Amino acid sequence: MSALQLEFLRHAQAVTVVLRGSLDGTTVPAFNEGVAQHVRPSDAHIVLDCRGLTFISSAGLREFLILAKQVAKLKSKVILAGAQGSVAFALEIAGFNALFRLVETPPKDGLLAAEDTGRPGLLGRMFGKTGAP
Amino acid sequence: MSPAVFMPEAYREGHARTRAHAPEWADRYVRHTQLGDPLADALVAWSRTDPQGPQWIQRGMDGGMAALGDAPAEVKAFFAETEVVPVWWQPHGALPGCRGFHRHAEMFVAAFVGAVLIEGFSTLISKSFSITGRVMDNGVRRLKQNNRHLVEIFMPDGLQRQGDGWKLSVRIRLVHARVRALLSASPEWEHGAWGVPLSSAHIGYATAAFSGLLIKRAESLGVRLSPEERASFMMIWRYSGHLMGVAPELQCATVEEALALQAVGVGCEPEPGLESSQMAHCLINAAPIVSGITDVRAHRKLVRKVFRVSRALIGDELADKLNYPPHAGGWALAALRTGHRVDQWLQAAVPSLARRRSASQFQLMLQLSHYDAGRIGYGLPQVLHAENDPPA
Repeated sequence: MSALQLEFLRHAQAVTVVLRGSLDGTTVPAFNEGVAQHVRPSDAHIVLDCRGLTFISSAGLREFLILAKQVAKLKSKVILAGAQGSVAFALEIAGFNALFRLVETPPKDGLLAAEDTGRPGLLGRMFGKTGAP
Repeated sequence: MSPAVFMPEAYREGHARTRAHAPEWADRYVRHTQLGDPLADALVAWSRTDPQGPQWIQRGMDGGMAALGDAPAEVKAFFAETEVVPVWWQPHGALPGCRGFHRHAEMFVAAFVGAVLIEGFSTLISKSFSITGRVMDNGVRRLKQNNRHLVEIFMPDGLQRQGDGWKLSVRIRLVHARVRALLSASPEWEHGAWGVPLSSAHIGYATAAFSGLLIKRAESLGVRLSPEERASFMMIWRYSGHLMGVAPELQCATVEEALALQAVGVGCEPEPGLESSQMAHCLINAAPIVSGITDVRAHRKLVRKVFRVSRALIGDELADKLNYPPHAGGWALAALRTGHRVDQWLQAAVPSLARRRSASQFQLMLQLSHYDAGRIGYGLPQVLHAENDPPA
């Protein structure tokens, strides 16, 4: 059965959302509900830990995009961490490597180091972010 | 074909003409105009008699056979067969097709709406949609649902058992079965003339068009797929078609097979009638709205352009039969093709541009597709005419 387990790791200025299973048309509502409950407007980074994500459909990718656009207005960033296999391929063909910061492992405190933030991605530039951390 | 075998009246002339050069295929096609989809038809018929029918279908879709231990026989039979994976389906082999589709997504959608859907509706398929009003009354939603299906079957692992592409393909099969039942019971459907509504022949023809013909029409718009991507693209559509109930003897493994079946279908089908023309005009007029264009002048301008490009893609003969405006479209098609090829060349030369174009194309596909809060609903049509039915 299509299933998604979510775990939220709270940090001082960030939150890591650990996804395990499948993010698709069936599980998107649960993802949205979890994000609404655990992501704060003050979070500088929202890390989506995709190491345990086995499948993502276009519905799931759409939710990542919606989340990123919403938090960009609050000068926050969404970081995609640890995507593998078909999920990594899906991110690539959807051009998410141009829209998001993709990292191999989630940062421990949910924040990337200042020197790793670099130039804002396309979404950041679209919503007026500068390169400053 | 034995003269004692019943043949729907509308196919007599075309069958005789096509039989002259493709006898086996002509007989096969017309035989399938009298066939439905027994397994799906049985499930849908049973679901109308049991108040728990929709819930069982939902359980089957979401949980598979493992969730159907005490399910009725019709439900188990359907999902047991549907979950059998054909030997020719190779999941890893689908990745090149996914890449090829998304690299050219805009052009594939343009070819789909501007040519392939219209050519599909130039058959008696149009009767089914015209009588039910399921495109004319809700053309925008229908187009967006088609686009969503396209996107999901071309996602990596989208056609794996729990993938949204798998579920949407099977859902289409059930919707077809339901509409088939509604039409079959309606005095508006003339069995003697038209055969079985949404027949096995039509589902096979449509899948051949959505695969091989789509590649051919997209190539006219500048799309170039590698041989690996082409084969993978066809395998994806073959599997989606399989899940939609296409009979094995109508499934196409290659572009050539699909074009051959599509040509046999065109040959056997009667000339496009008023319904086909209505469907074509409805689709083309809905396309700008799907794209988010609501300004009247911009809408009309885009509709004129789509008619021109569509005429260049489908040819003057069919365009005239469908009562297209008379304006030639060769230059519009050439401009699109050249623009796309230049774009592809630039992407190959500038990788960062390629990533951004991938992102913009994918976001465009999301915009053109139907997402009901992301969910997939399995509600089937309740009544014949769409105007009296809640959106499915």
